[in-house]
Amino acid sequence: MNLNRIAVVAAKDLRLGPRSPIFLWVLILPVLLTLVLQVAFGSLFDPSPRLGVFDAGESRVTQLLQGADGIEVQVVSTAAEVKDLVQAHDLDAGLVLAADFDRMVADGARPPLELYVAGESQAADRMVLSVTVLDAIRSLQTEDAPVTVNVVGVGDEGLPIAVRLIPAIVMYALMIAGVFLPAFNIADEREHQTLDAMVVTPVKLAEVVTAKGLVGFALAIPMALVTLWLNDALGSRWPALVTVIVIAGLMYTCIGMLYGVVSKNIAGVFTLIKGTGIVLLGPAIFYLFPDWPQWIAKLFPTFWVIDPLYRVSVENASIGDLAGSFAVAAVVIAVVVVGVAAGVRRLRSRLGST
Amino acid sequence: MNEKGSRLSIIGSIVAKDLREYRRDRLWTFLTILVLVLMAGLFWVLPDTVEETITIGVTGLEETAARALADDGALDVVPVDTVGDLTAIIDDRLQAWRTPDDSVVVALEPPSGASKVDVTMGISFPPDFFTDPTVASVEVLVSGAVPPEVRTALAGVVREMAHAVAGSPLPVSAPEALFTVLGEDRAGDQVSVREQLRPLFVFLVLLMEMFAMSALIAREIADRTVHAILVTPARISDVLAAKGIAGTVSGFGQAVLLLVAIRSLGPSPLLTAAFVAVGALMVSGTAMIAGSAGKDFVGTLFYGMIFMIPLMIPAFSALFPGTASPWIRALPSYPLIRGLVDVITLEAGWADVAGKLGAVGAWCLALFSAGWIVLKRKVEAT
Repeated sequence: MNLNRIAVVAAKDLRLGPRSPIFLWVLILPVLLTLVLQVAFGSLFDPSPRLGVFDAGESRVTQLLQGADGIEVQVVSTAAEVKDLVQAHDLDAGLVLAADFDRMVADGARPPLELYVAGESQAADRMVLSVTVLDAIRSLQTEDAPVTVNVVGVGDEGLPIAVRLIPAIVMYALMIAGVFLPAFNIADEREHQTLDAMVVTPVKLAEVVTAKGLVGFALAIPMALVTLWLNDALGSRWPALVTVIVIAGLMYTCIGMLYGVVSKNIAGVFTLIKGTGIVLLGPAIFYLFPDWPQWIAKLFPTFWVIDPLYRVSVENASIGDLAGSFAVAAVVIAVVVVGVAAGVRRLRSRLGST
Repeated sequence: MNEKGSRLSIIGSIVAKDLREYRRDRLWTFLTILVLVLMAGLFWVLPDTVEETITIGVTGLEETAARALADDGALDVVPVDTVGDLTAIIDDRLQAWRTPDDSVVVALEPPSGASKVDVTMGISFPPDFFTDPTVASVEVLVSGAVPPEVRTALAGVVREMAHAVAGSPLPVSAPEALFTVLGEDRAGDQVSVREQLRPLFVFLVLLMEMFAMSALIAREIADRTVHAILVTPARISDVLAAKGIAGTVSGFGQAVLLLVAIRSLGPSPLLTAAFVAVGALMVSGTAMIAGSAGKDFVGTLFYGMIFMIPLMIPAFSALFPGTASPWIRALPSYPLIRGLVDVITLEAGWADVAGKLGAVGAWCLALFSAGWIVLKRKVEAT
């Protein structure tokens, strides 16, 4: 293989690449996905109980509830609207406070409690909301609670969903640049028969494929870093982070080259990605569901790069901690490279190239 | 043969050709089956229950008091002997196991037939709490995974218990329960993630079919296969009808196969099939537009994405509780997704979803007509 020729082909791809919609995907999708997953679906996996309050006076209960941790409080304009929203499960619970509610509680008049819960709300949310409401109302009374309660944290703090989503987002960035780009570029050249034209020049087929992979790799690394930066997950161990991203980029790029050389056309690449996407993205799902048996994730080849990435960016692991994972990743990459080489040989024979 | 019979025969021949093309592509056939198998497999490994109770470990609580604490179904109370054990369980250094006779054993390894109880929080009551709660403080122990609202609520539960022990009444009057339930009470009978995902899976299969169909159309236009067909007695309307039928049949077939594999045809299989059929027709219309607009596969993929992203939004919004925003309800796929949710998950009947079926039918007609016009113009122009 001639490095100069590889560089020439790669430079051509980088120069002409931005004309292709795939390049736009590479640049835009990780950002878009960060936005969609973190903003929209963070609340799907980790929802907060939702409480609506109609306050006919200016009750202190409303202020206390608005300041309560972990509860979404929405002030509603009428009592009827509270009921409608609860009935439709747009709220988990709704509280209606009379105009002189605070005074009645302070006077010991025990006003009726108008607390509604949605039929579809979960038992735990009902308990959380009703106890929180009651606690807020108790604070209107002059006497203190008869007991002192200390909340004590035990063990490590858990990871929020935003952090558990990081592997999925980074994997997607790597997949788009590392897998899609080389695979589509190779298949596109083949479909438009420009590959036939290229291999009659001194450039060898293996060099063309390597150049396509190089372009994917060159974009996968910065896009993975940008995605980690967008998610505030760059961590503090830069040598380990760069090492793991390079290895991850290498694995994904090799997979992309493999898809490119075995597909007859772009439709073939698409169907391959459609069919094996779950294998490539599978490990990321297990970070979202820590209760699932985690050993299953280790069966996926991409686990051995995405887990180190997670451990470096979230748990600040060092290169030494990840040596075992890197060894498995190297074996996976070697197997894929053998597949790419076989694919190139087969493609060469089909193109009639030497 | 009369004119009508002749047209049907021509359309049938083109449909058969298109379906044959699908089948001849071994990779496509293999991957289609693979995707269906993987989706069905993923469906069956997803959790089919909803954990809607909060499990707490308690020390220093008598059995009757523990039972009373768990009475409303929101709390699963696990009695533990010592604070040390409770702390170790929450910290994952020890495990709590529930034996078949419903007793709880604290050990590292599970006793025979026991299942693990996931305890991430607990309350340590001092010995004299139930005689004089003012003399000592109560510790609420929580792991890092416990959300803030649950920590606050647990502290509130302890304070309410202390108020009850001290004989101080509630500051409000509540006739029976503390709250009134509005709507059908599904406590203990929640819709699981697996059930919620059923319509989404079906819709994903249909959308994937849209990509395949648009690619086929784009390829036929680029290769001028369409023009080759048009030099035969086939009219352009026959080709368009055949494309619509082939896409619909293929999408419908795959979606129904998946529904069978995940046992989700619902109590009214015909009604489910009706929604799937209309959905398949709708995505065929969008495939015609995407296939006509894109010059090559990547182009059609892009145009397909333009349709896919908004069409997917109602499918994801179905995973969230409550009413979707008005703009989501205005999207063509909304009545389709809601209809599938109602029929498959909530076991609605024909009368319940007639409006949604009508709405999705109208959208289907609009999109299919648009697809027909766009594809016709494209074929005529090339």
